[in-house]
Amino acid sequence: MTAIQDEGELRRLLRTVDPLNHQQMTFSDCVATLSADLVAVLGRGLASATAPPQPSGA
Amino acid sequence: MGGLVNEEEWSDIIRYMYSHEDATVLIVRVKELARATRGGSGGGGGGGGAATAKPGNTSARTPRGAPPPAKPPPYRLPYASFLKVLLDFQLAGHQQFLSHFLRLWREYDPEARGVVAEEAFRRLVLALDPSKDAPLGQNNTAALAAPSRLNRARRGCLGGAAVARRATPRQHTHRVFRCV
Repeated sequence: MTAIQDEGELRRLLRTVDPLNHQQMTFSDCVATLSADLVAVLGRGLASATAPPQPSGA
Repeated sequence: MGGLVNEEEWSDIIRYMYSHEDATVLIVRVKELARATRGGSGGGGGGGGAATAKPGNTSARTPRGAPPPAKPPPYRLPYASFLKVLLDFQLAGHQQFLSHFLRLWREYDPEARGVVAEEAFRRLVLALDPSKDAPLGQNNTAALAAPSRLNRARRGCLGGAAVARRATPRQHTHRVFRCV
């Protein structure tokens, strides 16, 4: 889980979402770039509510 | 594509692809649909060898023998209908998963242009930051209220490898996107 706090992390995200600095970041671009953090946010919320399911062996 | 899927087959597929919790929901949905389909179409097998029955794992039902009348009617449905149940389930997961982000996005894209510039993106990212109490506390209230639905959404959404690695409890979940 990466806390997006520092400028370096923000710059990294910006390079990913807008590598050519077009200043035109679409919804899909943002979702794709931030998906891991979206999951982390939800996962953290879930962890406080219920324990996340464990991976099955299969 | 036009064939029928037997209960044994579709339930195996669902159990393989989904967690127990999701599989339970999906099985109920598929059964309801199969029941409705059966009610509409009479109930036979449709005279088809196209029912995709694999020779290895089916019960002893030979093509020559008449179907046993005393058995309970099978939950059999067209493949397209089965696929639609899965896709609807996935779509609902996507919508649920993205609902929080979508609300945020609309705040930072009030004119609904569909794109944001760097400054708005920065604020968006900071609003998502879980370490910041204020925006998260406000925006996640609704999301946290339904953990089981979120759970499903989290698994079903995005299909990205990062999602699958970081939060997907069953590694095969993202196969849904390839299969369907």
